[in-house]
Amino acid sequence: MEKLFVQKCSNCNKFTFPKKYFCSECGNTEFDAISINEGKVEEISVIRHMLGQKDWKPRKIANIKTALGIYITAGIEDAAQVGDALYIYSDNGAPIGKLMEEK
Amino acid sequence: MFDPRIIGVGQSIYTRHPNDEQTIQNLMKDAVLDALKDANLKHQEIDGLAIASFSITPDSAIDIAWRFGLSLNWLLQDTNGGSSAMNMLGHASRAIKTGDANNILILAGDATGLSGYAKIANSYNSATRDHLAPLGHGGPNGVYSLVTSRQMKKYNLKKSDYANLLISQRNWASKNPYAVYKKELTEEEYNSAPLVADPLCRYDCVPVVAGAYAIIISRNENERLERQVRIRAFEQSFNYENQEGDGTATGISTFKDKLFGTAKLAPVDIGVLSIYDDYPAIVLAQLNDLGIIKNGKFRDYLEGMEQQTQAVNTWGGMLSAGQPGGMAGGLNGIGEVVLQLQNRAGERQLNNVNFGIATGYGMTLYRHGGTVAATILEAI
Repeated sequence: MEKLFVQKCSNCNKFTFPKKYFCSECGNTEFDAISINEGKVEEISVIRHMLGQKDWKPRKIANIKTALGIYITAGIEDAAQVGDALYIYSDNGAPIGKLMEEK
Repeated sequence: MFDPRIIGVGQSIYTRHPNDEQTIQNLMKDAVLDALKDANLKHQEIDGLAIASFSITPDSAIDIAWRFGLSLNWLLQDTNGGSSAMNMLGHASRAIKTGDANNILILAGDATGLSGYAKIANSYNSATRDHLAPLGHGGPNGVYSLVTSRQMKKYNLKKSDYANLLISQRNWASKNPYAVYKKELTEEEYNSAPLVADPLCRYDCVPVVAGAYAIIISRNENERLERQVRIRAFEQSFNYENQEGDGTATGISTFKDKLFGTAKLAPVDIGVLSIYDDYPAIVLAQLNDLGIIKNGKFRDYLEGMEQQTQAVNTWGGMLSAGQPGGMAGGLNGIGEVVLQLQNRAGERQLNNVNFGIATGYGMTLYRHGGTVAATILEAI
């Protein structure tokens, strides 16, 4: 599993995802890469239909509040529900969440 | 400085399943012919063109000008999705005011087909391509399913509370000859409809159609019209909170007071509203930000919609009439307000409407849309 990295402004310490080139808070252009690995499910949705695809199998996505306080949208591949704590990782840059106990 | 008038509107057929002849160019041609006739203008009198469309690729605005035989002083191509229509209206209005052009054709349309739309949705921007599409996020349906869940939580709404908005717009659509869905929608049908992206059901997601819409803005009046339409106030917001909010508010919250202040009007003065409606939650968010919904009482407002006391999206909106791309959908909303103000809305005509609002909302960046705009139009 790859780590998921977010950016931390080297001047004002603001976290952001996806990648930015200027900090929206202070205008700084230097960022540190910080890995995040924990979050909590705020909302979840089952994508039951995909335009243009007839053999689509439902997939779940969720709004995750990360331990750093920023929100990301992640894919969910297990039985995680709203309120559950998740382990977060990256699949080629796409955030994925798994229930902590299944880590 | 000239005070521009919107002197003509026109549209093509809207269709879920375009035939081989219903290309984007042919649909746009139909909309242009309709708008020119409505404006009582000759083709050669158009000296400015603003255009927005995903479907004209690899062509661009100048290609359309060439293929449509338009020799121009002023040209614009806009890429702001659901806000494109408003953005084009604002730029065109200023161009008329400064004398850069006399008669500007504002044109939008799409004929992507469902598979084409899916491709656009999955590579809408780099954030979507890299971080959302690999999840199978379902395009904007997935993004706004999460926004809708947040709105339901924040305002204590049940899924069934949204029914009246869809039922009301469907009732309006039944009076719009161009709407693709005109059949009455019942509360039971809405509540039992298949889910697309929880909690969004089939009726909460705009039906993609092929179609085009055009309006003409001019330094001159259309003498055939009894009532002229002018822009009384116009405001826009782009990336107002860097996607850090929850999407239940829009950039309208940054300019609402200025919009009504410039117009010297209050929300109660507005007789007709075209609120950009890619999803019901976004309609409500904009109405709330505009102060049309009072004190965050979403459920009270939705209950009022049952009696169609709210003149919102009187053309049926994109949710029932169809979304010919968000760009033309936004333009249709502006055109509907124009028709209502000019007492030309046929069976849909409201009584004693002097002021109307049209909005645009679009460009889903990551968690929600990044652009929003609103105008107050006035009949004189």
